[in-house]
Amino acid sequence: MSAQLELKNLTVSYGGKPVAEKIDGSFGCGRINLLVGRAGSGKSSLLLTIAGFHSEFSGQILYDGAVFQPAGNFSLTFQDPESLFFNTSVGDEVEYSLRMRELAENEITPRAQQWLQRWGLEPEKFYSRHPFELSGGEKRRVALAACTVAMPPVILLDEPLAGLDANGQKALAEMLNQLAREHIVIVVTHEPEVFLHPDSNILFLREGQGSWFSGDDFLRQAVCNRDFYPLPRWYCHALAPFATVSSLPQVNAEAVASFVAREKSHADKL
Amino acid sequence: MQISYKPGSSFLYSLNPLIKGGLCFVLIMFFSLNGLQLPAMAGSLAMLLLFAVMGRLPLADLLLSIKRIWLLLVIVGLVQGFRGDSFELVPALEGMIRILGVFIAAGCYLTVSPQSELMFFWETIFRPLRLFRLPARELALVMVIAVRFLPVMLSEIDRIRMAQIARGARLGKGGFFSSAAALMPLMIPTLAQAIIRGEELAEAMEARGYRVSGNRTRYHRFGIGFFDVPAGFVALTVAALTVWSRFL
Repeated sequence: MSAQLELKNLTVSYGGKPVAEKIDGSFGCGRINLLVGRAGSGKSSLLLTIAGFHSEFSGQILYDGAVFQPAGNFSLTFQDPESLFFNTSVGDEVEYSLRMRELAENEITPRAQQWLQRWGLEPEKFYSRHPFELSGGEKRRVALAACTVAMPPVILLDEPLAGLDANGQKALAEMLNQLAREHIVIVVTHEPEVFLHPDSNILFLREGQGSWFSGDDFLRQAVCNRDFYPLPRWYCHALAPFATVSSLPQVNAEAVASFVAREKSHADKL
Repeated sequence: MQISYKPGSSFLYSLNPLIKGGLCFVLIMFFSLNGLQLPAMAGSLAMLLLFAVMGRLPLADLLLSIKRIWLLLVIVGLVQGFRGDSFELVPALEGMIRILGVFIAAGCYLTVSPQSELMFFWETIFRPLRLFRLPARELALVMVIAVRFLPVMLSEIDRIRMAQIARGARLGKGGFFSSAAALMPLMIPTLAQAIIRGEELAEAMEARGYRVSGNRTRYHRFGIGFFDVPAGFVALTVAALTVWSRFL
C-alpha cells in the first residue's frame, strides 16, 4: 500500500486564532509519521482536525488525491486512554470497531481475542474485566488494541506511549512500527527518540509553523541545539559524536542504549 | 460550548449570591409566565442580552450553547404554532423566546456563580427545612452538584460520541430518525460514567476532609454590596411585571 495523507495549505485555528499555519506536506506508509512539538504547539489539534473532530480550519486534507472524509476509515486514540472507553468490558471495547464494520458475528470474538493477545494482554485474564479496573499500562494497551483491531487505513495516536515503562514502550513501539508498514500511522509524541529512525517522517510544529524533517535531520538539529527540541540528555550525549557524519546509525532510543551498553562493556574489557 | 462558571469581575459577579439567585429565579418565572405580546417579549430578551454584554459575560459562548437546545426550540415552536387550526408564527416565536429566555437567564447565572455561591443560595433556600429535621445543607449540596454536573454530563456524551466515531461508528448520518436512534447507545455508557464520576467525587470530597456534620464553618462570607440594591429593585420590578402581565 502506498497511500498518502496530504495536507495542503492547512491552517488550524481555535477561536479565530491560528495554532498551526499553512502546513504543506504528506504522511505516508512504511514508517511511523511523527508529529512533534512543545506542549500547546497544536499537535493534538492537528490530529483532531484530520479526524474530523475539529472543524475550525482552512486548506485541504487529501487521501490518495481525494478529499479525506473521516468516516469509518480512521481510528484515533486520545492522550488519556480512559477517554476512549465506554463499554463495560475489555472484550466489548475491542469488539466495538469490528461490530461497527459489520464483520460476521462468529469472526468477531476470535479476532478480538487474537488481537488483544498480540498487544500483550491475555484474553483469559482481561477479556471480561472492566477497562477502568486495569493499570495505566494495560489501559494504554487496550486503547491501542481497540483502535487498531479493524486495521483502518489511517491510524492517529496521541501520545500512545505516555506513562509506560521502557520495556512497555519498546514493545508497543515495535507493534506500531509493524502497523505502519501498511497503514498511515501518525503519532503525536513528546518522546520521538523511541520511534526515531534515520528516514522517519517528522512534522515539527513550533510557534504556529510546521516544518518537515527526516529522522536524520531532526536529530542533527536537536543534538546540536537543545533549544530546538529537548531530547533526553543521555541520548544527545551518545549521539553527539555521530551528529556530523553524513549518515547516522540506527537512532531510536533502544538502539542507541544497546550501542552505548555494548561500547561501555567493550571499553571495560579493554 | 459548555455553560459553566467563568471567572470575571463585572457588577454581575459582585452581586450577593442571594440577590443573584433571586434575580435568576425571577427572570425564569418572567420568561415562563409573562403574558406580554411578542415584541415586548423579544425586547425583554434583548434587554437580558444587553445586561449580559454590560456584565462582560462571554456572550458568544452563551449563544453558541443554544445549539444544544435547538431540537427543543423546534419542538416547542411546532407545538405552539399548531395550537390552532393552522400554523401560526407568532405563538411559535413566543414559545421559542420563552425557552431561550429561561436558558439564557440560567446560563448567565451559572456563568457568574462559583460553586460556593450556588451552595450558599441553595442552602439558604432550604434552611426552613431544618425545622422538619431535614438535612438542608446536604440537600443544597446535592442540588449544586446536580447543576454543576450537567455540563460534565454533556461533555461526557460528546466524549463517548467521539470515542465511538474514532472507532468506526457513523453517528449522525442518515437523517433525523437515524440520528435519534444513534443516541440510544450513548445512554447506558453515560449513566455508567455518571455513577463512576459520582463515586470519584465522593472519594475526592472525603479525601479533602468533607464529613456530614452540623458544625461547619464557611470559608466565604457574603455581604451586601453597592450593586445589590439596584439589582434587588430590578428583581422586584420584573416580578411585578410578571404578575401584572399574567394576572391583572
